[in-house]
Amino acid sequence: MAWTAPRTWVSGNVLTAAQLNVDVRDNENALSLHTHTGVAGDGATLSVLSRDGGNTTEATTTSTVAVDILTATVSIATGGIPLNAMVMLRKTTGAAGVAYLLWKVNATVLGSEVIWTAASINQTEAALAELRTRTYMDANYSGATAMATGVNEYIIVSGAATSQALYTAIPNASITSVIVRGRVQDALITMGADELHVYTYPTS
Amino acid sequence: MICICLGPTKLLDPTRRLVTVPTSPLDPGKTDDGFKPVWEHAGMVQDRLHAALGPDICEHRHGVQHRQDGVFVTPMRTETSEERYYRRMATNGVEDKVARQVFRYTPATDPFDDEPLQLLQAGPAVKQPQPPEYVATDAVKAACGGQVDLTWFPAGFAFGNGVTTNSWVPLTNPVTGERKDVLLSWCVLSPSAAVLHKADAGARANLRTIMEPSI
Repeated sequence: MAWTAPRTWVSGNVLTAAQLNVDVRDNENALSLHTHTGVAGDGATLSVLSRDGGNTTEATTTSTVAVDILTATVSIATGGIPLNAMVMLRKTTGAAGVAYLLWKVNATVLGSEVIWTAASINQTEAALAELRTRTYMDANYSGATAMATGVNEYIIVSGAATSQALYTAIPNASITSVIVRGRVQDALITMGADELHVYTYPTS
Repeated sequence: MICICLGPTKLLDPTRRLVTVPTSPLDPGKTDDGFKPVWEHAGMVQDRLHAALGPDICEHRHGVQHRQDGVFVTPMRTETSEERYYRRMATNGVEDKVARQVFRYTPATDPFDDEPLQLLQAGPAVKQPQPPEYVATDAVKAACGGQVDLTWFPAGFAFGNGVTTNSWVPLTNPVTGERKDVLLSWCVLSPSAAVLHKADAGARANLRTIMEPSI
């Protein structure tokens, strides 16, 4: 229900139910129920970080090859939108070996695996890993004036002070899943992944 | 062979629960009490499988990866002592270029010579001609409406090897298109264990009891 400018009353006017419905009921409804579309008087939506999905059940593995451990089902209509995913990682003792992390968006594996643990030491470890992606930037120049392809994803791991810039083209189609892949160097070690949260940023 | 079971695994002491943040301005729909249960992790399940069914029950060969679209084998090689040295220098914060120019590797003074050598990929993964074998328990079938096969899993979904537990997997019925998240655990059996699993009903029951304690 759109806002209707209330009439101006003058001396001698007789109030009717229809006028009250328009000037009071409908306008009160307009004030209460309007959405922030950016239309004059309606206000605009504040551009904020949006949580698009996550997974808060800890999944664990002893696999020595990459396995899809933790999946966040999301519904991001436009690929290429700036995205930030965070996950908690931890591992057990068992052997002097490391653990690895990979990120996957839909069916696309981003870059190569990252060692998220400190070193080949038989110890428990934990880390916070983060994936940042942004719009794909290809090399639009050639020859002597060539410019590098843009960094499209960045993987950061706390604790191990590991980071990796990636150049994989993230999907331009809608994004339906963000997946944490992992493996351990030795099957006597268990790796866990939990508290996966996926956020997107506004683009304008 | 991939044995697909319904999660969760065994609940540990109910008083031991992970503390989480109960509410967040960015997560207004979250209404739990700030705690969640602690279930047996993959290593604990694997230990119990080894104790009940033998140490060779799980596929642990490095480079053998079971996926939704096939079994892939990556040739592996052991790294050299020199490769180990530069890898460890990097993990100690020494840039590779600096290590190679200033702190060059010399076998006689290798400070990491008592550490194990890693296995490295020696070539690209090769898809095997035979399709992956799998079995889903009755509980998984019931959760999925009576049937499930590998086509229900996301394209290229990686089961890896060894044991993986308590993973929510989005399964899609290829006929109806209906999508459902199901909490699954799975174990990739070694070739000899796969033969045992097919032939021995007792072994199958043992494995299911360990993987699906609440069923």
